[in-house]
Amino acid sequence: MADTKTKGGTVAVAGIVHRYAGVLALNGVSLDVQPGTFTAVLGPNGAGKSTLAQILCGVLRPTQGSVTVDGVARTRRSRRAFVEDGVVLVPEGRRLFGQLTVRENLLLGAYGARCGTAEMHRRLAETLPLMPRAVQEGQERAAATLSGGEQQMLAVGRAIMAAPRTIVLDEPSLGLAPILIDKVYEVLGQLNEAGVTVVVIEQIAAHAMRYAKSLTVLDRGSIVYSGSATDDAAEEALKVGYLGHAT
Amino acid sequence: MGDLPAVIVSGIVSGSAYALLALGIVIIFRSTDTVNFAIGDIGTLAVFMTATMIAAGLPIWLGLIAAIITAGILGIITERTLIRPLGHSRNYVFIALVVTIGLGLLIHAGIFVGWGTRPQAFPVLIEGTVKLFGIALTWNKILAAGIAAVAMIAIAWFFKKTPFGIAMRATADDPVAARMVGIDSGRVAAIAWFLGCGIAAIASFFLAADTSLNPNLTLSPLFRAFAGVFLGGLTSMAGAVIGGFTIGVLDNVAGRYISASYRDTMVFAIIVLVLFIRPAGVLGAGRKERV
Repeated sequence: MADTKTKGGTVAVAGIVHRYAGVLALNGVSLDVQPGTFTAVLGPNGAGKSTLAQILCGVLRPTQGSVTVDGVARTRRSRRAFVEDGVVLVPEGRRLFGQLTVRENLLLGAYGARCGTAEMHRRLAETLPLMPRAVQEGQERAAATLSGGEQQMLAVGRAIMAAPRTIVLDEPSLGLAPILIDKVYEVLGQLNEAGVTVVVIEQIAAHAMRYAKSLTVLDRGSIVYSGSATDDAAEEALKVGYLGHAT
Repeated sequence: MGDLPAVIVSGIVSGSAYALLALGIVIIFRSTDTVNFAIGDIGTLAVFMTATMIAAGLPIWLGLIAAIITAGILGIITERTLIRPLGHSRNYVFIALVVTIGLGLLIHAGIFVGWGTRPQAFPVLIEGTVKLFGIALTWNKILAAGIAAVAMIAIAWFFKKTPFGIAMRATADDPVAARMVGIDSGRVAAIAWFLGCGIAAIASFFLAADTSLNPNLTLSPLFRAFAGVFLGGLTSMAGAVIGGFTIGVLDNVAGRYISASYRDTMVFAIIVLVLFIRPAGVLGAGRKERV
């Protein structure tokens, strides 16, 4: 499975401790995301999931521990350098640029990854077919006028525009109807089949578990399970009771 | 009231300087949350430096370009050395505001030290006057208005059409998300300060040609530019431009029909009234709290 030839973007964290003004959010977390996998990181509210997502993508620098991209220490690098390495985050709450148009939001995904104008438009043409109709037909609309599901898809689209090798999504299903969550995961499945490493961070297991091959369960800042998402141990880990919606 | 068109035209012409300064203030505020009170003094300093170059033989139109670039670089230096080190503490907006007021006073005093206290003659790009609706306008003023219009259109194009301009708007919309996407916030800040101070220099350049080159060149225009900014809203570029022109016209109308000595009073009475009804300005968005 480990395709060492895969170009860039394999993230691993080791011994991560993170405190917010002294309050412990993560305590000794290590996670090695294998290239090309679909990983789910599950855990209840307050487990430290968003903190982990932000550290994985270089948005947040951990109090202690190391972050490596393709085996190279990247703990002290800027967020921009992570994007250039192909590690892209779809943040919690989407964080679209609401006053900008749909099209501008998409283009900025590519701009952040430092790509030229011609390449930007080529990627736009590739990304648009993955998007719902409202996005395709409403490119000049302000992003804030899209529905919740469309906005989540646009956030994923913006990340795809950066040509990610690893895409990390922080609670992509938050606040969406099940049918819309399916749409989001469908696109993630397609990306994964195309060779992109996918990491979804979720509180609710159902959808993530349908696609994930490996599973990490986080509780109160520590990893309580890490391994295959399909064997009995994984089911056991989910049933322990951290997650109310275990399959 | 027969001379109303003339009064309005003349108001629009002098309003172009206010509109440029107002636009500069808004560009800088949107990308770095800094109300730059030193913008007028930075522009004036650049024009003083340019005047020295013109005296040494630089063609006047090249002097205009030199003034824009000089002010832009002074803006970048200000942002790097005085604003960025402030970080983003809780009272950042107020601290930065006081820093720029202090910088403005320093530059103002520095000009006195460097160039003396006497106003200097400053050359105009074109000589002569033209009659419009029965009033005489200098070609210099008309050219100033024309160049202001070109600068505003160029800036609108830059923010709307270029990827970097879009990235700057994105940063104004949500700076945290912009960083997550990979936009270089340092570069955005630098370009914003360059553009903001650069267009302030255009205003200073033509104001100097219109009267004389003196350290108080932008004192009264900046006062009116801020009035325009509050009228249009601190976050709206279009609002700032419209606000600047509106103040120019109001100022002239009040001066002509009420009393020249009540110009400031009238202008500010109207602003107080507008802000009373719409605190965010006519086109400004209600300010979102940044996390």
